[in-house]
Amino acid sequence: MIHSIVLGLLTAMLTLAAAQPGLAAGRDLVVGLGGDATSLNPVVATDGVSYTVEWPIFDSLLELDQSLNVKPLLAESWETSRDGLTYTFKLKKGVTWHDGKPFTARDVAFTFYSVLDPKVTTPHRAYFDALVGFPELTAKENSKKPEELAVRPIEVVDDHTVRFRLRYPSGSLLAVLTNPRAGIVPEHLLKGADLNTAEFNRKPVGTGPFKFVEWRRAERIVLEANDKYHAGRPALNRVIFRIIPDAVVLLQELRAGGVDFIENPPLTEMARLKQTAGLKVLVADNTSYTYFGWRQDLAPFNDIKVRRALNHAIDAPTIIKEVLQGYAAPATGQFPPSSWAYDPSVKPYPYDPARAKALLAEAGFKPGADGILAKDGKPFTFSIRHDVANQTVKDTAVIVQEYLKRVGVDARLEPLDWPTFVKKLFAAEFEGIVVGWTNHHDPDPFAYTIWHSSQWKGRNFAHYKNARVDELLEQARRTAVVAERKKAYSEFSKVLMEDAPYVFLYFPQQVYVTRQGYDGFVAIPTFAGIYQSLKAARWTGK
Amino acid sequence: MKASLLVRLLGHRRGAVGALAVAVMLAAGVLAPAVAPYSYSTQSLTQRLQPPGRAHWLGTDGFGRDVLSRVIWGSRVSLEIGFLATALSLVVGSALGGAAGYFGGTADHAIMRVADAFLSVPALFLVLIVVALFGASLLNTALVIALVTWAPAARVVRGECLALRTREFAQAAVALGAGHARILGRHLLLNALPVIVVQASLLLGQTILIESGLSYLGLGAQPPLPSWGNMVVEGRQFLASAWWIAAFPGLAIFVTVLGFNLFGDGLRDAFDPALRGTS
Amino acid sequence: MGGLRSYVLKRLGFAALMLVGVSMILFAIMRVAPGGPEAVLVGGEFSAEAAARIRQRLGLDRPLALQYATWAAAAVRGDLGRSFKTGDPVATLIADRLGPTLQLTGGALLFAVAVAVPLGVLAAVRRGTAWDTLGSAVSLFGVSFPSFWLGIMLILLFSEALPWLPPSGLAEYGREGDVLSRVRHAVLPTLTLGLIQMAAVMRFTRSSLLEALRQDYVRTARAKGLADGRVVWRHALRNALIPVVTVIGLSLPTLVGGAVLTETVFAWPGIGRLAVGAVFERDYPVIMGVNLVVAVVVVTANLLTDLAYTVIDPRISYR
Repeated sequence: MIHSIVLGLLTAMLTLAAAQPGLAAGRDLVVGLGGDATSLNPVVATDGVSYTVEWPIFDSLLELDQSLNVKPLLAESWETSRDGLTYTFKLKKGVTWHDGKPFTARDVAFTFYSVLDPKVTTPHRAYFDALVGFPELTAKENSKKPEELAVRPIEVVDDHTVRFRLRYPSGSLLAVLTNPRAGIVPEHLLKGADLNTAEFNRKPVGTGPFKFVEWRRAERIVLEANDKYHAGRPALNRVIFRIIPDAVVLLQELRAGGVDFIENPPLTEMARLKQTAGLKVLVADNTSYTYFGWRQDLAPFNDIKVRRALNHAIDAPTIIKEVLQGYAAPATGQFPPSSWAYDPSVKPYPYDPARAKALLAEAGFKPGADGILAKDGKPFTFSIRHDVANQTVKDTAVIVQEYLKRVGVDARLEPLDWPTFVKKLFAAEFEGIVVGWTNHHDPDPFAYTIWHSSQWKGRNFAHYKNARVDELLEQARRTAVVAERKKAYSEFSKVLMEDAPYVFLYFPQQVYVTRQGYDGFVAIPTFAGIYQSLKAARWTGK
Repeated sequence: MKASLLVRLLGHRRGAVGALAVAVMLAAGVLAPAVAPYSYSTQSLTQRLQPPGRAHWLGTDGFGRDVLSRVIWGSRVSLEIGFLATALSLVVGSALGGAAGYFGGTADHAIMRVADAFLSVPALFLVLIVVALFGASLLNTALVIALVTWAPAARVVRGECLALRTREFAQAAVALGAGHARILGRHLLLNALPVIVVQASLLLGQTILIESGLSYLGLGAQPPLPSWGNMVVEGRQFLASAWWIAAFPGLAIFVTVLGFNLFGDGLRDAFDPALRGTS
Repeated sequence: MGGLRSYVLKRLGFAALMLVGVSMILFAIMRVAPGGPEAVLVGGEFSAEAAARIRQRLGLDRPLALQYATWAAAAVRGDLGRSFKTGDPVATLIADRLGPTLQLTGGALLFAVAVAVPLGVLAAVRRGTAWDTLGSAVSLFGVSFPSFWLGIMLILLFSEALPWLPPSGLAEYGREGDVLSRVRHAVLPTLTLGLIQMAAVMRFTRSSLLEALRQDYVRTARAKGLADGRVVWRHALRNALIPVVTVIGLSLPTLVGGAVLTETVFAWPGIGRLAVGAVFERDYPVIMGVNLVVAVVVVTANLLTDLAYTVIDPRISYR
């Protein structure tokens, strides 16, 4: 009785339902994301999803081409002084914010002064270390305001001219003025507001190719084309970000037509996806890398023989081939192969378990009764902490543990949830770790903060210290001459590899899957780089 | 009486099937070190994703580990958590629920309000908080599952005792001057046993399912330790290309939970002499 | 009715006490937990001073008792604070998800009861026949799968093998008002949750009806010659419903606040996902707020359940 009614209802509904009509056919793009954004304000946002969604909303002064060279965007042209300490940008005229107000140099100054303001919690502050007055503006106590400085770091020369003054001739300034970390925000909407909590962060207004329409938390974020975009209206109608946490279901949505574009699908599906008619795969290198690291100042990791042995014990090329299906580049140091700072002559330690055992024996380890190495009665055992929620990192940690076991090293996996993990990392409460760095396409921002001995309270939580490395990193950041920086970074990479402070594992590639009919995507080799080309993407109807 | 109980139990077809399934899984778990052909953690990255074959009867997973060995060891892990959690949960739940149902009044109120408190926090939520705090070890997982499931058990037992308390045998015992403990323990709880037993069988299945739910969220038993839950989760991404990785542990979950439920049915019917045979 | 009124008042009093107690304990647990919201908010530029600054901004450096008192005072007025992560008012976050959550929960419960109670009754009454077996099979099926497994199976069946239904989501963009679209999206998640709920309800209906059927008063009624149907429906069923009502009451917190697995699989914006995400990110105001709302729902439901007991079985009375 009741069952038949229910059954009847169901059948009626299903037959009534026509084939899924979808959106305004082809002129919208539905992007599938695995998580929700946190905040749509480029000054304060810290996570990858927020970066992705912000990119089409906010323009930066400059953008990147496929070789990661800078090109004009909001800045039409620029001049550098001979001593490399002054950069003058001429801004594009006629650019308006999504609310119609005009974009001027005051917005640029406001944006970057906000980044420097110690009351604003932002991950990008360190990128502007080279600016005049940086220490005074960002001091913990009694920080100064820009008006109080003798020399203004960012000067509004006129409505369309802005000047940056540096205290040393850094070569990274142009590179850090690109998205996703340097979108410009409107002064007229944020002046006087607390950027950390402003309502603006949930209803953003930018100058970018797409305007914000709505954000239904945990469900979707909808953007629509900006008719008045300074570079011309984008070909797409709307960009709709759908949040689908389950990766298997996300893939299913791609197949069923509910989603048109996904990033980083399970790599085991790649073969099938490539062969699916109507879909195409876009691949690009990335700046992020994953590594197996440890506290440098903890025994036995402070013995270089041990560190080199750990390197020989792990077969990174096989991990790349078998687990990542080849969608990664081997890591030999801080820089990805696509970076100009990369030195191909630096070679990783080859997989050689015999050599690993020999080195450990030289370091004084002898196999114990259970096969685990021991020295002076203490077994070589330690914990490897990692993020419990990141499946790729988890898989990598499991593999690392197995390789270590084969040479007699006992590693216990300790997955921790993210807040706990981050806290312990930055408090240097760990022995071994498997984690990654998102990295920046310019070598300086991360190389300095990870490896310089002054950064033990920051990203150098592994407590690495090497005087030569300190020298080289400082040399590399205080000059804008690329050849000189390259030389310094080259030697830096060599010293790092000899010192073996990590087992550098791999640089996973960015992999995107979308429908054949979408054209115009350009995957540039930097984090979430493909979203820069959303303004050029179009539906060809095939 | 015990002998006839056993006879009834064995005669109940579904119960017997359930008991068999459970026994097999239990045996696998207990004898894991002896029975598993390979270690549960030895990887062979070049032997990944092998379909079931001669060397690996149930195939290999994404790390080249033997699926059969991991299913066998997984039995151990899943059942360890299951038994510990269920035992804890039922002992506490029956004692408190029985007391509440029998004594009534303030005791009832007090106990049930505490139970309400536990019930008002959604199960997975509470488990998550504690596991995030104290880490995802087997003991913690079992403890927390017990924390979450004792209250429903108590509520059910209380409901049963509330009804039983008014029955003739109970009132007769009171009239005869029996003490509280005797009435509660001997008469009420014994008569509530069928309900408790059904609870136990459901609970055992539930704990396996809760643990697998935790694995889906990234908690639960942590690699390389295999639990059926985390095996199913790891195997989901291979559903199209290497179905065996998720299918076999999934089957194990299904068979075991089913087995416990059938066994519970059999036990209940066996305890109840008036119900056998006739309709 | 005086006894009933004082009973209800007493219960409400206890409930208020309990809400305070639970929220206090939850508050304390979260503060003791390692890590805090700083990790999510500071992100890549993490440092001890940035973390300290955030804690200060969020008021986390004040004494615990003060923090709790502030929260409680505001909560009583209906102000549940703002999410640490996004800054949204917690009440808004929960209210936005209440609709989809109740839709999912209500649908699942409705399905479960509509299918399970008749099936359970049939299985008990027609014991040993095909109905009994069918009932057992259906209920056992539902109870033996993890929900995320069942979910993906249903998706693969109804969205890949038979392309009838959409795999996930509430509705298509621009078609939220379209009832048909919403119903189509709701079918699979409701079925997933409902099949599992149904199993528990069916089993309890069957077993408790069987219990009730062999009660003395039933035998007496039969002996007196009353028609079998009347005996079953009037006397036994009423008693059998007690555990059923219990089970429904028990599943409420899970359905309202904990259907996180189903919500995650189907990308359903429900309260379960909100709560779990908040725990992972140490978003204390959201955690406290969700717990409060769910607790209120559960307390109300339990009170109604217990009152239902008195209606169903007049022999049960409350001293």
